[in-house]
Amino acid sequence: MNALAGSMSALIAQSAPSLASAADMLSTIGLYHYLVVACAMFALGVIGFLSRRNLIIMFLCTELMLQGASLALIAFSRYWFNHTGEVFVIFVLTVAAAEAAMALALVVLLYRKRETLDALAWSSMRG
Amino acid sequence: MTHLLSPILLYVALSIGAVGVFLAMPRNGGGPQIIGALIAAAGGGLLLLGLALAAGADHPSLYFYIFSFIALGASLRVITQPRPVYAALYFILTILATSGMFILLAAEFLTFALVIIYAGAILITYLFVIMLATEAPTEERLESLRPFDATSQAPVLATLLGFLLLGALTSLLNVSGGELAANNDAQRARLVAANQGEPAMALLREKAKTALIDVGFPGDISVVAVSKVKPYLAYFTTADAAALDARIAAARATQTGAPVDQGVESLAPAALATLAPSQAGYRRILPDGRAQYQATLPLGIGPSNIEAVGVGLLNEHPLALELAGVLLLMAMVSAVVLARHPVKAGLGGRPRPLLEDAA
Repeated sequence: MNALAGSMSALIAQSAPSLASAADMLSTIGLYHYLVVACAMFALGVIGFLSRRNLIIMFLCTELMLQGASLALIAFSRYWFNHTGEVFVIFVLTVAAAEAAMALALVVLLYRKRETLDALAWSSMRG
Repeated sequence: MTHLLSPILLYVALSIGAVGVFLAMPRNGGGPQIIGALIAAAGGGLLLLGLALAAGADHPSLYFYIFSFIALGASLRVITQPRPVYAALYFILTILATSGMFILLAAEFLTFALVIIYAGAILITYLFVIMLATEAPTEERLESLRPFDATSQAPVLATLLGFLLLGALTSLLNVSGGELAANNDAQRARLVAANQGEPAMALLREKAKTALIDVGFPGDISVVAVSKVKPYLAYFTTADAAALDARIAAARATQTGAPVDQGVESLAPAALATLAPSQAGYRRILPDGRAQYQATLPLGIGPSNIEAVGVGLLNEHPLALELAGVLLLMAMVSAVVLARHPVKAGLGGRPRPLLEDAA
């Protein structure tokens, strides 16, 4: 691994300059590792959102999907040494916080209406 | 077109994972949840093992495999755990493992932001609501699960769709040199260099000037450019080039033991050491007649993660930052409005029973 990183850094130094330290550059297969984990977290979130009936757990599953997206953003930002990906994750965090505040207020409201957290209790809302 | 990971191995691992996740879904009266979790873990382990073997010497650190296994296992428990409180706690575990991966990706600021905001704030809100919106236990039903928690809805369809999505995404990305990746390392290195925007370079010039003054250069230097190749070189000009030349000559004379001009303060040895070694190489005359000097910068002068994120946030996306603030304010106001809305409890408007002494 070190030999490869060394040859990589030599390559970088010759061909194109970079602000970032070349020795800890993420390889393409390394990027793929992170992307597979990110996609798996997203898919697990989708499965949970589709199959669970508890409103709160459904919202937890959306947070799981956001986590997968954040991980992919950070991995790509590392791969390209472009910090815009990290900046976007900050906005993802903001949106997640806003979503949690509003969604949980809605959940409390719905619970007070029907006395249950079952999503099927609201199936009459289908349009 | 070569694959990063053998597609057969990918599909086998995903199929095993799909079967495991399907079996691990909550069913009334237990079901083969533990067996399903074990099968899913085997699928995930096979996938990670295949990735590690495919990467060969290029694999990420061992911690990546530990963190990803914890993250995926905890995610599985989030979606299969019948009790919401435990699901929320497993989600915190997922977040901690993900922030470990963020550290491996050198995103230190976001690691701490994630732990503080997600695990510290958002998940606590979830726990509050879970406890607010739970029926009080009664004498006969103290610990039993509610039926909508104990069963899952359309588990076959959900698992199938989810793993179809996962298979499509991972196969799409499983191409080395495809559209998503650079064609070769040299091309990628060029693109990486192009990614360093002007604000980051301005910050680096500022830091280079401070570092040069720290080692003993006069305060009136101005850094023109910093090379992007390591070790970093700073190119700078000064208002009084003749005086600096005299000081450099005096410092060199002091080092070699030659007689020194009286009345000329020699340059500090540390500053002299940063200049290029050859007598003529440390400066060149620009077309407009000014002298431009070249000095080696100390290691570790590159922007830190927090600086880079701060520059990206405030210099490149200031409007988005303001909008994020507005979004949070709107969410807060709307949550207050929603929560204080008076609701008649229950369908028939019956009053909620007071929590009696359950113990």
